[in-house]
Amino acid sequence: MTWRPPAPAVADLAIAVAGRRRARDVEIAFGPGLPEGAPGQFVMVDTGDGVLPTPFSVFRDRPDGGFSVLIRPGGRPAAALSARLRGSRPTVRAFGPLGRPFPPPPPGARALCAADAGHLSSLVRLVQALAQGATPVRVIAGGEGVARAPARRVLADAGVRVEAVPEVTAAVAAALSAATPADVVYVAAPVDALAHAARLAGDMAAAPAVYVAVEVAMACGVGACFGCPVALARPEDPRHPYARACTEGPVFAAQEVRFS
Amino acid sequence: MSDAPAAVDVGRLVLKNPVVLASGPFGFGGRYVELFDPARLGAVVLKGAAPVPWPGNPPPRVAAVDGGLVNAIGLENPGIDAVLAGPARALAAAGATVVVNAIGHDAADFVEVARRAADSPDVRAIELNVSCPNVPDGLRYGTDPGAVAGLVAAVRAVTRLPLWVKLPPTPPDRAALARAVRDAGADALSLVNTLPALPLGPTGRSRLGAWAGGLSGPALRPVALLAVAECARSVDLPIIGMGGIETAEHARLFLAAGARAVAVGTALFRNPLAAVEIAAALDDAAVHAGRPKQDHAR
Repeated sequence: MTWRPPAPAVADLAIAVAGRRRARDVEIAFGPGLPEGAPGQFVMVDTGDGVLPTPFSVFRDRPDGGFSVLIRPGGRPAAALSARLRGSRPTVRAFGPLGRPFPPPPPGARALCAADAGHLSSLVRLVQALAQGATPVRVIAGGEGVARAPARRVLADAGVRVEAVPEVTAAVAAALSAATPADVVYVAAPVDALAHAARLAGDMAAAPAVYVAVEVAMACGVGACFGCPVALARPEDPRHPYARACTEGPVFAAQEVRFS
Repeated sequence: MSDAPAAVDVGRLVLKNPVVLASGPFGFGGRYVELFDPARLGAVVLKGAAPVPWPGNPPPRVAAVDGGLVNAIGLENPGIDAVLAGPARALAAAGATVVVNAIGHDAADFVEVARRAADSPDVRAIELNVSCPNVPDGLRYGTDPGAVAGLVAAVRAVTRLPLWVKLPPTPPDRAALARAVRDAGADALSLVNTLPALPLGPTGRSRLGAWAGGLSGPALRPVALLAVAECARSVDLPIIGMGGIETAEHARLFLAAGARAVAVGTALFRNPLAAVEIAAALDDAAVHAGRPKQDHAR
């Protein structure tokens, strides 16, 4: 796994169901064809559900050079992919990897990774990269479903323990206000939790570096259409108050973003 | 005239093939330039540029709906000078035929953009966007034959570059509008811009920060085909047809309706290779048919 984002590519990828997780999440495997992305990047997939592709964060890499994602049954992308999967040799057009990845921690830093149950899968590759790089990493996940989260089991298989907490926002607050907080904090959670983490870090005299992964509606995914603006807290030029989530993000330093 | 088998004349501009990137979805290139070569297309129409930067509309800016997409980007752009110095120069250097899309609050803005674009050796034509539904007064010129004629004449006075004028999908009197554009000195019509639309969510609230936006995608296709066919009958100007073109078959429908060239926009989102795949298919068809240039366009 690399931290260095490669150039994106377009490919038609074979797809298959890689596993069902207690009927809650379905893991979809995508065959090889795209460059391996860095943790935090995403892949655009034409699921066949309307005119927009679906951005997926990679759940885990696969031995054949492909990757897999987790999807929740019931949504339109899931229904569209299911229809594709009923074909004899199902494929989808996909492009990526895209977006700005999580920045690597400085040497010797201690990292905290925090997510709610629904976003934990998007931190798996980050945690794996940190662990492989010998960065001390603590992982906390909050909310219902953490105990059954596939990501928790994958990380356990890699020797990383996920601390289950009732609610991620309070857990991040506690971790940031600890006597010896982590040096770098990575958060993937609903926007309220991201905003809270940003506020806390902003109020601290010597805050750790806090990085958040935002989720907003996207169209092109490649920084062309300006369809995924994220309001900046302190824009360099007031005539450019927005960043593009697909290009300058989806990972931002928490203090960069104006949450509202 | 180009020797390319699918080359077409759009007024005074020769395109190597009849497939153009529509203004908007391609933006100023973004990372699309890493996914396909824009020089393989007839032309690249850049996202709208104003004399000064515009911030665009508040988020959310896009909402997928059945059969299409409603966008309210609000013409965010860095200003014409930045466009000319950055993407226009880079794309032209890479061999693309670059068309600047001019926007403005009033005629003076359009004239200023055109004047600066005309000074650039990288710009081959100017498209006047007189039909954007996503900004205040965006449709002021595109629905009034007298107003649009005055605008085109004012721009014509400051540049010799080919002028394309992008019209809305359902103006009150399409034929009168098209004739006014022609008589004022335009070289081609771009048909059509997005259709004003309101994407309500399940709670009855708009899913867009700007409330309403413009509909593009397959749902717009028959609307655009009507516009192309009617304008082709009423004026002798070349037409660049667009609206929901996703495949070579769709492109052929527009050519059959009277378009000289076609533009691909929203289809790029789910398939970044859509435009180059359509261009290749039309190229192959022209080669295999052994038809004279432009024969497929009529």
